[in-house]
Amino acid sequence: MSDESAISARGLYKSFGDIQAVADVSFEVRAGEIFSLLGPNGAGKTTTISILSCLLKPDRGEAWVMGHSVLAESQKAKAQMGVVPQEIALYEDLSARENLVFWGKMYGLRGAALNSRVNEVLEVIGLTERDSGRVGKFSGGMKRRLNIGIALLNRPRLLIMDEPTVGIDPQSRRNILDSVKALNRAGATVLYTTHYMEEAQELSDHIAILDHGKLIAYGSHEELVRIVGELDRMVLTLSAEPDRVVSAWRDISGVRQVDIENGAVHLLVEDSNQALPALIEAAGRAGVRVTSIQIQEPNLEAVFLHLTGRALRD
Amino acid sequence: MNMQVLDIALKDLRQSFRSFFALAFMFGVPILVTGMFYFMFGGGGGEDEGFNLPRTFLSVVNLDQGSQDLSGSGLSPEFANRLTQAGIDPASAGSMGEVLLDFLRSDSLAEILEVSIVPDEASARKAVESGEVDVLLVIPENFSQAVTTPGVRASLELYQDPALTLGPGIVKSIVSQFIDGLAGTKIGIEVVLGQLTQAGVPIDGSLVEEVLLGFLAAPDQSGSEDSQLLVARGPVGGGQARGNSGLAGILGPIMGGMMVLYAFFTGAASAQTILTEAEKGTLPRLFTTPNPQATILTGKYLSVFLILSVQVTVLLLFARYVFGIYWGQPLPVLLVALGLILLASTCGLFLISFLKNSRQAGVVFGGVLTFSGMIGIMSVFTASSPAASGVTDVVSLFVPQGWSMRTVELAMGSAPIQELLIFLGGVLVWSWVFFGVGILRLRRRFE
Repeated sequence: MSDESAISARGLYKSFGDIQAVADVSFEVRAGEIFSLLGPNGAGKTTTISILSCLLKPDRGEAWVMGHSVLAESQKAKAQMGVVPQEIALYEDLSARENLVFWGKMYGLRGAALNSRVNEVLEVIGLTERDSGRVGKFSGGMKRRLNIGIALLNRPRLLIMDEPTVGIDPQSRRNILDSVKALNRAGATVLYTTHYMEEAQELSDHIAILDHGKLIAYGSHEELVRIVGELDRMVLTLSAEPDRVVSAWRDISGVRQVDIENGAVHLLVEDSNQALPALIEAAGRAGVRVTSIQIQEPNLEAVFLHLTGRALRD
Repeated sequence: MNMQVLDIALKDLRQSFRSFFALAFMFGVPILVTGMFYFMFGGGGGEDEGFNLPRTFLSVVNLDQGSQDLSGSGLSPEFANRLTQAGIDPASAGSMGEVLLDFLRSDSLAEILEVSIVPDEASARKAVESGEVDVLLVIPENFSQAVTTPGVRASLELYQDPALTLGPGIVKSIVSQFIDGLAGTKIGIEVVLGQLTQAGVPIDGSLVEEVLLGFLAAPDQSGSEDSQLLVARGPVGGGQARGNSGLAGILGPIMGGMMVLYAFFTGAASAQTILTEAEKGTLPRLFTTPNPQATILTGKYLSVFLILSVQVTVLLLFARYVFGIYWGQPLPVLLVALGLILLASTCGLFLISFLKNSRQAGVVFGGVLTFSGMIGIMSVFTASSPAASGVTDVVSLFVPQGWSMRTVELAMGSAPIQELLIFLGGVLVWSWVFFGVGILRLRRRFE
């Protein structure tokens, strides 16, 4: 691995019974960047970061965190990282401060250094005024912030965040995304998993797209979008079963891909302005009315659709 | 010790003592149950801090003709002195019926028995039937002979009001203990005298007295502090309540049983936090901190041990100073408490290691621990029936709670330390097996 590498994963495999959760996943995260693992639920994102955070041992393959093998030097690797789990992993019957003090001790902090760091983190996550409140009484957003705060206690060089914005309101989500950027500006490398395309797009220097445990694309946002070229993505809903028009639409010039997802038709077309009249006309001939039309510029959603034939659902 | 081990344990301790449910389970229920008995039997009644149970009215018809072998006038000074120490008038030693009467009328039983001697058996039976007397005890003519003469058998008869249970049960228990003591002595005397006869030694009263004295002296030689001829057990309860008489004699075994029963519940409930932390994600998060798995699991186990230590200590002290229960000498009590804490904590670890999730814990509490716990503390309920307690003494040892309960009873009865150590050894074996299996399974699960 290179000296600049914060994470290096090589040929990771992990299965649970008959389910192959991760298969031959390799990627490199450079120090100082925000790297996103993007994929739908069940794609293998959490399994991958569980291996990287030394929670799971891979069946095959190896990974290094800040130069330390997660298998042979797991304690050294863990000392370099802070992990924000997907679920809120807090002691709800303890106060915010008591939680931070306990987790700080788990990272080896003691005495004045611990108190000072706890105060700093409370400030960063905006809970200084509520430090003595029981966590069980906190709102979802406050819990999320504390959940992140715990991972900051040891001033980690690598912050691993597993879908930290799941199930929270837009305002808290915005705060978290801004916090991630701020932490990155302060020098932390961030490994971020999400199934929200727009989060990966906004935050990431590099993105790896996972599906069914396999890494199917890897690069910067621009590099990934180039995979689908200049294709537009269209989503149409119809007044009747889409099966009646799909084959006709596939024959229209400029239509590159047609897929049905949850009753809606997802298309990749060369030029949406040219294709749209022909699509509506073909639908009319089949006795079907187009009830809604959504047109998107090339983005990660289109990349995922192009690569898997499925939409990357929220 | 790694500081993180202690940090985890203290965090769990703090969480436990913030939980109303945990506190109620650890302290409230055992104290409440014992407290119910305390007030049921008149405890806390004011001036008389001792036993306020209504006395059982006992009539005794003593038909015993005495024995030539135990003539009161021919006793040696040493034997007469021995009997006096035991609270028995040497003048009555010629009749074991008189000895039994002296015992029933002794100060230690005066609070629970009102003994009257009646010459006429028929009128005494009528008194029982009319409810004037609770129980009639008939001592047969050949009672003393049966005690001193090999091959002779006699039966004491208890005639009781069938509507009463507690009073007759108490009398039956007291008399049974007396008979058990005599029977054991008689067997010993028969064996010794049989061997002497085979050796050609002539048997006379003085020889019988000498052998009897030897038996009476035996406990001293074995190191026991017990110098009484007959030890009065508590009227209810399996413990030899040497230090517990009256109400404390009833409450002691009950409180001991509750302590054992709920210590095992607490052990399992505390160990259950391993599962709940795994489900809530805090345990996996702990595994992402730079601490070995062994440190984290040791911390979790230590928390169970500490929580149990607090529970057992509080229950022991509360029972001692509020209910007046005597638990035994300090060292044996300390060993017994440590044994209970060790066994309950490792048992919790063992049980939890077999559960997939915390929802299954209800099965452990409602089924396994309740069932095995009731078996383990059966002696509390069967002590008034010597026949039943013999069976339960054995059956209770099939479950870990039974071993802990036995050590509690032995400590309360000031049993010889050797006997206590045997059962503490059993407690250690159970604990070692539970800990070994439990920790192995948990380590595999979280690898």
